[in-house]
Amino acid sequence: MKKLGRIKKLWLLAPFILLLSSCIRVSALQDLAVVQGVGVDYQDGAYKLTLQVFSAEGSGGQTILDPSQQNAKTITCRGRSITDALKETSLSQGRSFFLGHDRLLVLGEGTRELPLPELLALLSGSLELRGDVVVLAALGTAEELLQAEINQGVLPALTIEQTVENAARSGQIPEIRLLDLNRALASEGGGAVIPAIQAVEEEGEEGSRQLKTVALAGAALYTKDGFCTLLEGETLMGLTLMSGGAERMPLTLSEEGIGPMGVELYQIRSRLEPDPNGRAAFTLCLSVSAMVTERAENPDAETLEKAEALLEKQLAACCQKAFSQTVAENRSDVLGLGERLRRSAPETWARLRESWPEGAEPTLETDISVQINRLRS
Amino acid sequence: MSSMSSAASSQTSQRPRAAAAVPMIGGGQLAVLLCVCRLPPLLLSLSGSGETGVWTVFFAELFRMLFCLPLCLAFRMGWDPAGQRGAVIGVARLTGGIYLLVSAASLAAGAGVFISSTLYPGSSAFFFGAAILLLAAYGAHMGLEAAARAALPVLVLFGVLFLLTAAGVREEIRLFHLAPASDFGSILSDAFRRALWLPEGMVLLAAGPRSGGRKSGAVLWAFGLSAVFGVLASFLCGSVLGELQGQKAYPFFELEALMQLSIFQRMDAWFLALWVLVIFVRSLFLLWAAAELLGSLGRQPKRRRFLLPCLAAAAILLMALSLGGDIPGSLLKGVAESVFWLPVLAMLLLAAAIFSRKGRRPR
Amino acid sequence: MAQKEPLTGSLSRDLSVMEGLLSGTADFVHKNVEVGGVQLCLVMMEGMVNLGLLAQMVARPLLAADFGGNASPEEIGAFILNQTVMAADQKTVKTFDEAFRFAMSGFVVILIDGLKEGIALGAQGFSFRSVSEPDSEVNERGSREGFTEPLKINMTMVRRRMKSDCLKFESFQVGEKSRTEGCLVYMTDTVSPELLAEIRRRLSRVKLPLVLDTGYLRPFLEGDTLSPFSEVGVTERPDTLCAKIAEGRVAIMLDGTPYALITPSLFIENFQSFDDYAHRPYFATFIRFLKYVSFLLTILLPGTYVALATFHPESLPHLLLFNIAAAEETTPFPLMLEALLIHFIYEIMREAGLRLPRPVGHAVGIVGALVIGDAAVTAGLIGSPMVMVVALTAISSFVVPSLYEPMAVLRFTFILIGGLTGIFGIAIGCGAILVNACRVNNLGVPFTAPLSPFTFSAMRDVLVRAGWTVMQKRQEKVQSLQGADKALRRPRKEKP
Repeated sequence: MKKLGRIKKLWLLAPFILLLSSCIRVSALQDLAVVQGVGVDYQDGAYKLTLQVFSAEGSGGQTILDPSQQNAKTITCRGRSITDALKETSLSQGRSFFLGHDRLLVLGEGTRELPLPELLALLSGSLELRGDVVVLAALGTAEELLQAEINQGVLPALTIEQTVENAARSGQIPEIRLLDLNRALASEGGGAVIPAIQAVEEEGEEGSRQLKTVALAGAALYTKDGFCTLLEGETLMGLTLMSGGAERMPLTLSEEGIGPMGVELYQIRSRLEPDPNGRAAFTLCLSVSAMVTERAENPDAETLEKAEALLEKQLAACCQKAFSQTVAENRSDVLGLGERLRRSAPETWARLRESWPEGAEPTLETDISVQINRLRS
Repeated sequence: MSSMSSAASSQTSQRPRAAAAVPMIGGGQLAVLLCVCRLPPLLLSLSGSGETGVWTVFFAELFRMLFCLPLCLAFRMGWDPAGQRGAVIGVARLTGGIYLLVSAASLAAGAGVFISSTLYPGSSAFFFGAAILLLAAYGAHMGLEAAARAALPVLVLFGVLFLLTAAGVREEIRLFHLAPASDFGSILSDAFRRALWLPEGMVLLAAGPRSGGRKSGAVLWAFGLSAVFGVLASFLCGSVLGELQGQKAYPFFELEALMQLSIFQRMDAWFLALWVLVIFVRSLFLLWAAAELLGSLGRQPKRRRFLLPCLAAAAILLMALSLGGDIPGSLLKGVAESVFWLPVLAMLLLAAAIFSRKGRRPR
Repeated sequence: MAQKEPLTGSLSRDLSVMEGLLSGTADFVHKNVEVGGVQLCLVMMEGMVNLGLLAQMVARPLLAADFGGNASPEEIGAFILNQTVMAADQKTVKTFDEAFRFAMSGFVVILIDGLKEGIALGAQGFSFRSVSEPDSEVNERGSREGFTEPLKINMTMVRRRMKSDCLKFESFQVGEKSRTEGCLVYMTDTVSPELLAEIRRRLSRVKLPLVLDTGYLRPFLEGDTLSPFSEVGVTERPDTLCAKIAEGRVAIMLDGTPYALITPSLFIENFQSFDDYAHRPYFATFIRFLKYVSFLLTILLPGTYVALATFHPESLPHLLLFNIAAAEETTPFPLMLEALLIHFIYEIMREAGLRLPRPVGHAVGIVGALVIGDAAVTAGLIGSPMVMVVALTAISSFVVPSLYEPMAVLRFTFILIGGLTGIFGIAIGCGAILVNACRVNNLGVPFTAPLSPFTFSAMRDVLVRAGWTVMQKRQEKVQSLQGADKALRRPRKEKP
């Protein structure tokens, strides 16, 4: 029995020794460069990577983070591939990049010619990078965007992320994350609409001093093969409505007998129904509630009815425009129509799959209902 | 001298030895035990994608349940394998024991690769697998009762986190992402093939005699609950990830990394902890059952206490070989894959042998 | 041995033997008196007898009795034993060993010349600490009485609270040299006879020369010594003891210590306090969950913090990560070492605060706060988030004081594991400890009951604290919990 007791103790010792044997790679926080934003540019046959990292030196003290200080710095690196670029930069700076807290992925204008799967291969496959990273398309270079001196918030990348999220909630642009992008690219004929953003100069409080900030500028339409076109205005509104990502959307109606009337859309419910007969035809069922937010006089029932009819017409036009510009003209299935067809009519899908969406020529009808409520004073 | 001793000596003839010679667990504990054993495949080898995957999981659990029922009926007829000797039972024990050992090694290897590739990049998969096996052997040494008790809180925790995951990804669910089911014939054959990989059947063979209550009820509950988890997991993966599911090695873990619910975000490390617990419990049961089956082959009970450390060492060696990817490792994989159906066959043959006998439970 | 020999009956001889055996110890006192022509000797240990009681209850009746000047020793003995009530506690003494035992327990031993038996009368008058509020189990409501050192006083406190004919004190003696008096306390209508017999058997294995505290007996009552948790509970409160024995448990009290042992004890009972039953159910439930969370915090928080910050920084909210990164930027030690160091310093200060005299003890608290809380952070030795972690851990550990020992050790273990292997090590460590705790099955009752094996009816006092109207419907006994040995449920055999 004594021997067994000794064996038991040795047995417990074994895992303990194993634990102490440093079989696990440890990186202390001081050795990590916490990346907040990744920008990818492509120039002269080489990739240029811009990484915005958290810099503790910029904080106000050891114990607290000072939002008024510059808490970020940017590191740029070049290489024939993104892997090469990252490898190059590890030679010049002493920390290893940590992508686990990355918030932004910005694709520069120079990457438009490249197919998205190739562009995203390393980043999508990275286990550190999370699926909820916000993807943006830069008008200009990604480097310029990430180097913009944004003094709001703790880090510029966080501020940009919040800007995009707010705009998405208010229906200005559709928000897309890395997971959505990967999912879209995995499906047949899939495409994506990526918010476009640019660095702008504006006058600072000091008067003559020029500050750089960022502004949203529509959205970029992509297929797997690369960039197609920029979308803005009604097209963007239609896409946002159809994808169902907006929580509210302000609009102005100005027509004789109604306007000008400010309305805010809320409770936006959209559904894309495939044709029950198995054709490549779809019906958009959109139901929207709206509230009158701005009008000189309180509208009567007749005015409201007219406004509802006008709004339905306008929304239908936006959706049709969005559909035609994305799916019909640019062959980018950003709405997941192929997957819906696959679900509802597998035989039709099997036939049309290889040439989706250009060979299938899908069509869209709209069924929109709007209910406007008066402004309550 | 304590005055207690005189009082104590008079009690000797009625001395209470509260523990029975063979520890017993209840039917509920057996069900929990088997259910926890079925959970790791949700993470490491979730089958198929879309509706095909959902149906495959469902039918596979159904087949597993059917494979285990003859054994349950045999137990109900009063069959006690512990006291039996003979060629058939001996072969079943040997096959089952080795099979369980290979299962434990395979599980540890899979777990090691999963852990090192998700949250510990650059670290050795062998280390994680070896740590799990060593501590699982320690847990197995604690006995079936302790392990069965430990399984309940793990299952409860799993259930809570599973629900949290489902709630956290509910906004990402798109039914149209779920690819429709293809030919049901291929689904059934795939499910049947998967169901043949059934270490739980061997665990039932070992643990059955040591549990009270109705084994068939326990089996129904265990496989039923794991079917629910499996179907839900497959549905969530298909409806959230869509075509992306086929590109991910661990789709369910991918979901867990994505989930966001109020303050619960970025919980992949916590989910890893949960899965480590689940894998630990399963490894524990596999090793315990292997020791139980192989130990009953010998006639010298004294040597059995060395069996668990030896089994753990053997499992670690097998795991190292399979991770190494060299010729012995490939050979091992090949052998394991070609004979994985043998234990189920052995179980069915055993059940047939029992039914053909005239033995009944004494009335 | 001369001590085991019977009294000779010759007073002078007996006295000389006793003086010889005690080697002329200074506290051995004897007083010769003559009553009715018979020589008597009152033997006692100085300072242990109440002299007033001695004079009033023993000497006066003896000297006042009229034996006619020609009484026999037997008459004197019979008079003392049967015709007077000189003390509530009267024993006959047959051997020198018994005489010493009683004398050293505060009895007056009367030796009668010509009689081979002495008489021991209970007239204890030694000084002892008065009944006061227990330090280790402070309650907001409920009684302020705690056990003291004399066993008889403690027995009285229990008896006052449990006026039941089923309450039984079974006395025993342990310690070959100390001969400490103890007693088993149980309810005859609820205790399992098997359980009782097993406890007696285990106590009979105690062969220690000295038993000065119930802690000496604990290892003999416990089963698995490799578990960090003890399945023998300790209490200083008579109300808690009464509540426990009413559920079929057995308590062990010992003379000279205010701490009583209660066995079998369950893990979940460490989170139950007497206050829970005085408060409203909803508040008691809230406090109960607070304790569960505090337990988990104190064990896992430092290790988890080190694990997440070192291995899984993506799991931390980004602002928290930035604050930690900023704080740790200039610290010289890795996080694991920082955590170990700071917790070690905390334990040193806690221990120092316990041992120091009270006036100086306060200074330790102030120094500790300054040293750890301020100076170390300002000097850049540790980061401020680590100070917060230590503070929270320390405060949480005092919410469940009965588990302080395992919590302190496990905390360090998890810091080590978390710092070396991250969340994987913590998970698998938790698994190993869970299995280890589930293995504990002392005296036939699973330590982790009623959580696992699960007993639904017992959840009314585990997950929640149900109101008394619900609790009164059924009295839970330890032997009726799921997983308890069936042998424990055998009914007690009625005596013919």
